[in-house]
Amino acid sequence: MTAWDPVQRKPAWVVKENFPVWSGTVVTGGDLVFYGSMDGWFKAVNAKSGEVVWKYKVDSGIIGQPISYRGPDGHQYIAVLSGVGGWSGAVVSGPVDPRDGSAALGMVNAMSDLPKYTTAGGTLYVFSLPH
Amino acid sequence: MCSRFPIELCLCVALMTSVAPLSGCYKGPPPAMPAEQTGSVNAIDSALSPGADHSVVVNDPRAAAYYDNADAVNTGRILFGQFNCSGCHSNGGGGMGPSLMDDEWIYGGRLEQIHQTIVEGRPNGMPAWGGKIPDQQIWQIAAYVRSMSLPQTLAAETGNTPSQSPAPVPAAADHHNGWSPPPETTNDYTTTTRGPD
Repeated sequence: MTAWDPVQRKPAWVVKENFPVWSGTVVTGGDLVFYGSMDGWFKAVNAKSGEVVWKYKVDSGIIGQPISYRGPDGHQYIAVLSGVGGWSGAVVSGPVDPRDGSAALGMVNAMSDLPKYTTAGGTLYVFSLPH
Repeated sequence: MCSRFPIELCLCVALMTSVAPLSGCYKGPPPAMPAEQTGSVNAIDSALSPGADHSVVVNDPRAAAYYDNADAVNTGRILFGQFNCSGCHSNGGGGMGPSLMDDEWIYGGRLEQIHQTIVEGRPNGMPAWGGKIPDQQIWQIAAYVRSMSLPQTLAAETGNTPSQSPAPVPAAADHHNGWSPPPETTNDYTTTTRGPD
């Protein structure tokens, strides 16, 4: 997970992840970067420093796009769908046989340890920001 | 359950278009076919869907020559790569297409049924290769695919690239059903128990 400084042409900060970050990011006006990991952590990072200021374990890996919205009560919410899958998560939730490392064009081999960290799922999580 | 991957999608679509709505997959009446698609000559038209009124072959006498045939499975292995079957099915473990090295078969796991599937194509991704690949080669590919889940073939696997030393398909392998349809499917081809004659 890299914040890129286009002026300096170098990373501003980096958060190490053990799996490819397949989720998108959303950045709030309060300088929080939200993203999810394939092993099921939903994280908030200080947009300036890269410090992980909050994280929450969800029931399955995240490959979805977090969003931010203003609720009918006027407060700000962050929503993200958990549920690992797709090409990268095929070894967990696809119709592939893990005995074939070349399955899913080799992604089964590349992600062979993912089943130890997450299972298939599908849950929408909504968080409210402090107010 | 209904949106994990193409196989499940395929089953749900088939269920949605069947007469009796089934809980879990039914999302309302089936959508009408857009007028511009009627009579399309480019669409792959396969009537064989789980639950649809289309028969799976039970016994094709042409299959007999491809049992106990080491040359068939070895040639089939080469053709499987040359025709890029591996692009979707990998070395039997699947990907965009389903795994072929397990004991689950959506459209039947007998040698002649695999041949029929390759010839006719199947909904949601499997092209119809009949008339595109010489029929003898389709039989050889089918023999190789049938061999993938044989205990002898699996036992010959070293490393994590299976199906590289395919065992010939014993004639006795299809005398009984060593396979089953995937869970929650409506088709049951396990009743096709006649052996190769």
